Amino acid sequence: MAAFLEFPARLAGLAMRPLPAAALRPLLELGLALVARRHPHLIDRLKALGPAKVIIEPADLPHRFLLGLAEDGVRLTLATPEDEAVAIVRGSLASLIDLMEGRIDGDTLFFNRALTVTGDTTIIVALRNIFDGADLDLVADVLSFLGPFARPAGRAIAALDDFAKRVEREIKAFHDAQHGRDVEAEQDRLKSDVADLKARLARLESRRPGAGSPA
Amino acid sequence: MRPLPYLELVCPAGTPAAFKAAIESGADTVYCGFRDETNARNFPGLNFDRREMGDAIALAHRHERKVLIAINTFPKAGHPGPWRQAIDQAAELGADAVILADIGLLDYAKRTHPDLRLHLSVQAAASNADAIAFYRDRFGVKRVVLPRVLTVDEIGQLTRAVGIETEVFAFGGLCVMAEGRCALSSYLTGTSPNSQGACAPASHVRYDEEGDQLVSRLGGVTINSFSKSEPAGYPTPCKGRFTADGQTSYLFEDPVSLNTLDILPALKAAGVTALKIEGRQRGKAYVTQVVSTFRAAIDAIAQGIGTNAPAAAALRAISEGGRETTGAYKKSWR
Repeated sequence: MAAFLEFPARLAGLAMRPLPAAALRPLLELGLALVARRHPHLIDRLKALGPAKVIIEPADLPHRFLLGLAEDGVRLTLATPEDEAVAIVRGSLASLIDLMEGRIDGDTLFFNRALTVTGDTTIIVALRNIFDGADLDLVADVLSFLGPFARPAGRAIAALDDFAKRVEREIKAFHDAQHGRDVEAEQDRLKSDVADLKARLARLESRRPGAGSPA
Repeated sequence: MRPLPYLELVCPAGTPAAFKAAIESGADTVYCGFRDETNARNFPGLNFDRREMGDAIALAHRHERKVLIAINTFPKAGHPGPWRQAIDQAAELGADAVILADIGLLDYAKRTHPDLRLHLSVQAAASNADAIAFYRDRFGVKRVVLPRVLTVDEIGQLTRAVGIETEVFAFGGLCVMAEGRCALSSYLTGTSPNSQGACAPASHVRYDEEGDQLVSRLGGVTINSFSKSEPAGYPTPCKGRFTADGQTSYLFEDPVSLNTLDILPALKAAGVTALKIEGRQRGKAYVTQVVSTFRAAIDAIAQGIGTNAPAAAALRAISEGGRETTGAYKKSWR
């Protein structure tokens, strides 16, 4: 399941949005348990970072998550307004998932302002590096729960993902075809503006005292 | 045995996953470091323990690629133990070379492991023929990583004069041009890349959102302030935006990445042996994208086809500050 699957991330976002906290809590526990089962080394390295709590804040979800790191375990729960953390990381759910799976470089997200970090930067950098090195594949990890059905379920999700990407490409092509003329017109307008500005600059230069006089 | 590459592509790996990505993306050689202060990317969560390093070397050798281990910080006075141990481990694990900067460590490596190939780190800041000849003659250094202060013509002259392999930076973050001697970070944090292996260590960095601005601080000192739509840069003192004489500007260096894709044939003509991609602190996605782009470009040039302009443009998106430069290679200032 190494392919880049956008659909599951979107689906997760859509599913989590309306879910009440009570329903989300056991799902988070199960998800973390499944990841822990397939990546014990990751969990060991996360435990070594504790004791610390980090808030993960997907900008496009109504929920915030609290990642608790301690010697006796790693916990992922919903954050309450009273929760205190040493650091907060904020970005879109898709960016955060990409980051966890190492599909996107954390510095690139930061340079592009798609990720914000406040608080203890050490723990965020450590988390970023540990996750990046873990070769995590959340879809495969979650599907592992299905045992022998994991492979057909994975194929079905990949097919859905492929379909969703094709639809998106078609929509983009349609959009570009509709707006192509506008872009060309805008380019022409900008070229004309630049030409005007150059002409004005030349006029101003010629009016400058001493301009045109021999040195 | 792999044929000698047109230009050897030397790629960074901060984690085993990035190492694998570098190999899969076409690196000829991968460089990495142990998880301690013996290398200049001593960042939290990064680098290799002894077992991971052994596994990485085995993986590379199965694919007939090489591994260089960077032990390129300067030992604490009177306490060279961890650095010497790192050299011993690199030799035991079968590293193809170690990248060293300190004269004492070069001496130790030459005496203790006479068969271990030695490369001179950029941190040694050897930028003239006499300096490089000293390292070559005294310690048997086989390759020098040149500081990013030289033009392509100067690299050509130097390469011909010193008679050993030269490696130049090809892509990634730029340092202010005093590598191995820059103590800017020390003034604000008490630590420097030269001694502790981290410039602007994360423990001293804070980001605060103040209104519409993202403010970065290092050791309590404001380094930069970015508006909402502005690409951000690293919070290193050299990339700070400071106010002097009433004007706010990048006093030392702009946040911008080096990119040499356009001048690869010129570097080859100058006699350069290897191209180094900077970025052991970057993720495996960065490694995959940069390494595969350079692999394709080098192969295309070697076959006389030319570079892939769209792929080159795509690298801008992962560059610091969203901008690129050829740096000193094409410098017009003096």
